[in-house]
Amino acid sequence: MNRRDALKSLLVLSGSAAVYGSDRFLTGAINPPELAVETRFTPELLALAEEIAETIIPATTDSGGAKDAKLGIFMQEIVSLYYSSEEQALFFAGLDRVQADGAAQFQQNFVDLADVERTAILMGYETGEIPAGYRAIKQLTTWGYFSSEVGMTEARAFLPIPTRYEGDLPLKPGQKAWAY
Amino acid sequence: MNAPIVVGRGRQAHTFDAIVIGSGISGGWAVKELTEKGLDTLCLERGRDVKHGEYPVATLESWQRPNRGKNTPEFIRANPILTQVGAVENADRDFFVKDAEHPYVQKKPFAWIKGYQVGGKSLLWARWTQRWGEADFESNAQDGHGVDWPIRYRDLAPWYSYVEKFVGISGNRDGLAQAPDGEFQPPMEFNALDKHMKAQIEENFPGRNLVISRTANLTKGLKDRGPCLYRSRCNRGCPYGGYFSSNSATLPAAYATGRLAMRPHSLVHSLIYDNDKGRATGVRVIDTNTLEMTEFYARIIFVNGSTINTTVLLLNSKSDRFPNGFGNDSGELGHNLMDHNYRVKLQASHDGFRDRYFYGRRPTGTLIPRFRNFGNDRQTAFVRGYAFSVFAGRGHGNIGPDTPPIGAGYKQALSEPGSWHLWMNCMAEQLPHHDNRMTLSSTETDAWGLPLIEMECEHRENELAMIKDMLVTSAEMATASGFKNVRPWDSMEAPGLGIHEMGTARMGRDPQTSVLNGFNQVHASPNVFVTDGACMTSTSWQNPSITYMALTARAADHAVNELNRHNL
Repeated sequence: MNRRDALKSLLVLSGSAAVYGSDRFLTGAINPPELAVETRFTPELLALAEEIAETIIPATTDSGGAKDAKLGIFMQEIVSLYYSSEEQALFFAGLDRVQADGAAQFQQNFVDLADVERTAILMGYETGEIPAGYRAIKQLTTWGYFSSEVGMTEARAFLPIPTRYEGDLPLKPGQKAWAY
Repeated sequence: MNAPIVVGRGRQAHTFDAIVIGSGISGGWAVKELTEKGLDTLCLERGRDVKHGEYPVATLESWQRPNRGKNTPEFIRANPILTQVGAVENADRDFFVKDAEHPYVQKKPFAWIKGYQVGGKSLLWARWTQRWGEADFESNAQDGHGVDWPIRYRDLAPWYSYVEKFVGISGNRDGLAQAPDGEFQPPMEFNALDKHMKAQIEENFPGRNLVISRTANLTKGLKDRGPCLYRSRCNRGCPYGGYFSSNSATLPAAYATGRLAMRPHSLVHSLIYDNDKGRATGVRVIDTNTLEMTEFYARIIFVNGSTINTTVLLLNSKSDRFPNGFGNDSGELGHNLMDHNYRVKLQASHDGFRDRYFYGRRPTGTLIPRFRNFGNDRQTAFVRGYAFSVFAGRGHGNIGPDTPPIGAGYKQALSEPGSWHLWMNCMAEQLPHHDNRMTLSSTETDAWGLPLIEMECEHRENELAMIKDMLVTSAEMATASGFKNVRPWDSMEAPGLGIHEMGTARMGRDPQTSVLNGFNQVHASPNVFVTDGACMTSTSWQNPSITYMALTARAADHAVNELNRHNL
């Protein structure tokens, strides 16, 4: 089985193919070795990335959010290791755009904005023109969160050792998806 | 290069009743059967030892693995062949041989996937275990491709039963002639979409069936193994013994006899042929750590190095008697290389069954067994047939038109089950063809001083005609089952990626046209047995391992009987 096809299949079955950042790995495009260490992630940019991620996937009453899942570090690792220089440039342009829109619309840094203000900025992208890099940030957030310990054990139903298989059961109202 | 001849007391320590080369799925069976029948047996394994239960990534969650388990760019760059295998990403990568560790020459594209360790690829296999049917052993004789199998289903049926009882096969008794029922543990259940597909396919396409794959995962405990705990992480090694591997099953049984000597890091260079005795008397072995060579001796030798390495060993075993490779009087050694054709894939989605779900992760799928050129079906464009492996599952993300694109509502939707999806993959017979072959380089050698292997294998007219048909039949079955976005395609992938390489030392009735006889003995040196994929005379459409196991148990029984009759 072709790796790409197999991975696609895996993603389809796990549902990840819909959005979630992991399609990055279907392209086969990978970083040349000299770009493997990415130094543009300053503490300020890490914090910004994590606050954007928290706006996309916030902490809720039953489960932690993107910050609890440490998605800033996650994005730093994945962008550094896997993104081409062009994709990295898009990613950082996306962060810059969010920062610029925070300043333009609310005269503050994005990390200092209220939740409703942050949401307004990102909803602007979702309902209007999607700026370069935002899609990558959202995909990384979604994939990173639902493959993290917080996402798998709190947001979804975690079943490390099922011990049995029952193939056809009614889905109960409000039942969470199995994490895998 | 010649090994120092081992003499005196050293020679005694280097002499066994039997030598088994390789500890994978067939070698493990040879070791088990020979030791249980009372033979002191040396098992030579080129890789490291892997003890059952010592599986370092078996229980790691995604967040505990670097990059959530994804192959790193360095790994992909360094392994362009290996990383074509999707399973590598979820598996314990240390069970696979990296591309640079054993280079070979692709005269035509061929993906050669290898596992060098005690247990071999039995730690990694897909565990699908359909028996061959009566027709599968007769097809070569009927349509004239390849040579006739020297055995029929009735010869192997009791040995299928014998190995199935020990392996532990879960499966349903479906009563299908093309995939005969065996000694089954209870089957795993269908999910809602499996049930629907089965009903639609069997109603709309008479002669076609969808069944739960017979699978070497235990639905009930068997001795001290299993049962399967439905984690579906089999290819990292299962600490619970939920599936069959040499490590979990055959090797422990052999160790329990006290008659097994396991020697890892032992690459067999060649067989030693004694002209006066007219038989092989032992093997020359390279220590893969020191590159020093030594010899071991035995009355019988089982070669189970996995198809290609088995034939490398035979081709490399040259002597006055066998100038073109051991047992190669026919000139067929290295020829008729085959792999199952996996090129046709299909993806689709289904809008229904949103109120149905499942518990646990079933480590197998469903199977549409061969229906072409079987029963009342007759095709003019091609001979033989194919199967589909089918995976219907439910994804993540209950996303609808009103789902918020960010925030708590987005998170909530992604925390719920999504829609159902379908993945189908063909598994099609590849005909034996003399020009599909492997040879040894006359100029280049590998890290161990052995000749590099040259691959020259391609899908030909019959396989390509089958691909056209599979693109149609896969889509028509998905469409009839109510799927949307039905997308079949031809991956164009090279042979080898099926990881079902077979042939190159085929069984046959005639020493002029085959390498092995009906009991897997080398025609010209009957104390040498080959019972891995190299022995296969055709591929049929089933995953092959259960057939290797049955052939191995049968050959081991014959070997010991012949020893006792002083015929070997």
